[in-house]
Amino acid sequence: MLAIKFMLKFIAILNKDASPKQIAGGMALGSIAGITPLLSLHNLLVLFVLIVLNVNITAGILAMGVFSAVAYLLDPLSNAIGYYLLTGVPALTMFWTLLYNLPVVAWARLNNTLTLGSLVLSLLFFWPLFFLLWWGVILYREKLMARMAKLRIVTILKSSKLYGLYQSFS
Amino acid sequence: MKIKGGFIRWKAVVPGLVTTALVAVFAIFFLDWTVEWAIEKAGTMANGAKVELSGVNINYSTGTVTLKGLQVTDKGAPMTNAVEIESMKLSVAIKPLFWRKVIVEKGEIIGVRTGTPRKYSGAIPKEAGEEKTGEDKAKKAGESEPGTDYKGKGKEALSGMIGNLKDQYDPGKLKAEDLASYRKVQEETARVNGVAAEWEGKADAIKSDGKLDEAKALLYRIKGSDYSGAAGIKKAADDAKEAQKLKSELKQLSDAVSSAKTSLASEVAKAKGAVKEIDALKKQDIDNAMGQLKGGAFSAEGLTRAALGPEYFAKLETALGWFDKIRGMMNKKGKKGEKPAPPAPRKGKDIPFEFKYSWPAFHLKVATITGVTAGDNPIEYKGEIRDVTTDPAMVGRPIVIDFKGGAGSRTLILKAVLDYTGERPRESVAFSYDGIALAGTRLGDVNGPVGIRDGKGKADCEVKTSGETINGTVVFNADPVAITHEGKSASGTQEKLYAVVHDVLVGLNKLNVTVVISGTIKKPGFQVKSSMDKAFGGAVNALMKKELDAMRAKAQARVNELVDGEKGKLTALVDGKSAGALSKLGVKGNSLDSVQGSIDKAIADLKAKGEGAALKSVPTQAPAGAVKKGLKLK
Repeated sequence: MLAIKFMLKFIAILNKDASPKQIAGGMALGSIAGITPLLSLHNLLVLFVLIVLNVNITAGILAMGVFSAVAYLLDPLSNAIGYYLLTGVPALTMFWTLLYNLPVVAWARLNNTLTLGSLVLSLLFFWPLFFLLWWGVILYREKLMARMAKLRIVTILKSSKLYGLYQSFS
Repeated sequence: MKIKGGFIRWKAVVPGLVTTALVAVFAIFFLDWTVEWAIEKAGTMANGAKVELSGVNINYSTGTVTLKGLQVTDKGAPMTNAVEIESMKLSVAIKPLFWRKVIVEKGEIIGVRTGTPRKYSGAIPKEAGEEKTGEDKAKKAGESEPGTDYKGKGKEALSGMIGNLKDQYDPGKLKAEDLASYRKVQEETARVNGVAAEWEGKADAIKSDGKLDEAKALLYRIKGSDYSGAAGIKKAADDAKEAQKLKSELKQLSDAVSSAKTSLASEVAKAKGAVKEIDALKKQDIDNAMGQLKGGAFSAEGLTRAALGPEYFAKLETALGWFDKIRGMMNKKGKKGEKPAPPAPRKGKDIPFEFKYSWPAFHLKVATITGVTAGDNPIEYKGEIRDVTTDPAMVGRPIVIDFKGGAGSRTLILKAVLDYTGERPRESVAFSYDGIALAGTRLGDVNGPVGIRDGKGKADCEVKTSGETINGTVVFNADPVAITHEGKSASGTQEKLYAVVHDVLVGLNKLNVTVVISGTIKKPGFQVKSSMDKAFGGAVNALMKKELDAMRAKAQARVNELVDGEKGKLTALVDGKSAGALSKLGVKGNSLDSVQGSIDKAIADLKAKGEGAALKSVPTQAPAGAVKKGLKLK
């Protein structure tokens, strides 16, 4: 029920409630938390940024879930990147040593191959993903939104009691 | 489309900070739950069965963590806890926590119990295709190996002894290729076939015919020559010289023949020696076949293992397996400057860097332990555990576990030193438990369950490891002891045998079992010596002597059948091949000797003829030496 409600809200946002930039920004930020291990210290910062920046929070939360699944596929790559950065670049050793010796920062586990690798990978993906999603939302609204509205499944969903209830509250 | 209201939600900054802070506080507030979850997950993974806690309490003001109701399931018996601990109160140093280091300054472990029952199963479901644990692998491997008997060879032994000997140990099933004697025959036949051509070659290589013809021609010429007058003297001298040269050449050929004959005789002797060796190997093959019978089905050790019960060996192996598990938990630090090993594809790895403090990720400096042993008459014990850490090299001290207990005449002592500070891990464990109440103890099964009705026992265990090797002994003494054996009904030979085993078991009033541990940590071997061995051995051997003798005769007949035919062929081959070569050499030798004799005679004749001619041709006053000088004959 909650998932359907969440999906309906996202469709509404996708259709008109938020600007393409807000949706893309929210999703790109959410992807960081999704690709990296969720219970990491840096994700507190991601959460704060998601709230403070004028981006769509619902899109961000949805992206967290979607990219958590993608992260499973990316783990070997993330691990390899993390291992290379931590052990294969002597110029960075001093920097990692400094971070390792800072109180509290140690809890960010940036000396962990998977945490560091996935964080770097998600940051590398951030802007390409942002622009791709931005363009995608615009394209959707221009070319697909009208067609989607006519789809049988959407018609059924819209005629359901749940949608009516949702509309009455939103 | 522009973003309404600007890039930043200024109004959301404070709520954002509050929300983030709340999430952080929420995480800390629920840290108890997180710690509980982490301990349960890591413990379950390490143990292979459920590890559970009933609660965790973190007191931030005093820096104490209290773990309550820890239950570690016995993997082999999921309805039993291997260890249950009432509470563990740990005083954690606050400062290292900022660097994610857990340093426990002092701990108090209360109410350690072993073998307690569980309310529900602590087994964890195995995923399909999941890799088997070390213990499972060891059990699987142990089925076919002496020293790791899980299935109770004694039971199998008994059934083997009774009736189905022919099926299980039929000498008719002995295969030629499994016999050392047969393999030797094949090997020797191949060798003889190879060298026989060489033997013939050796005889043919001595080319004596030409020289013999030459010699015969010379002899013929000497015979028909006239050696009169001065010319006769010279001719006699020349012919004698030629004959001498020829004789020397014939002598060389003769020596070559002798040498070839000696060499060939030696080769033949070697081949005949191998034939004798085959006889010895046949005996060995028969002994081996009988040894399998004795070592497997008929071994007293097999019966002892069955009587004691395989689960005790499995438990011992599980206990020894903890050395490997503990080693796996230690930081595997490379040498300084060495690159850490890459992580598994889906598993992150913490890469250590130089750290300003000497804090390992975890260090329990010291903890007191109090607990009670399992059973109806438990013994209370207390002691301490020191320097449990994830980085022993950094701490520089081994893990030490030391506790003692007692109740009346019963005593319990454990001292373990687990040293992982150097490159080569070493463990030493000494354990002694005197006064174990044995009444009601279930042992193994030898055609019916074996148990102990009454008695007291003492167990002494000493195990030492260094690197991968493990050595030790477990000595168990029960004096007095009364053993029960509920033998099932049987008939004929079976009845006799069961009766013997039953009598031995129930007749014991003392029991001494020594298990010698050797091999490696991953694959330890157990050799069992017991006071039961002798009794079983004597009784069973007496009963089975007739059957064993018959089996030996059958085994002998089978080995003869497989080997003797091939051995005969080999003997014939050696004789045949060597006879041809020896005959050739003999003929050549005789011809050479005969011609050499004729030449000797011809030289003597020439000498005589030469001297006669000289006497006739020289003046009477001429000195005799002049004649000799002119002839120059030997």
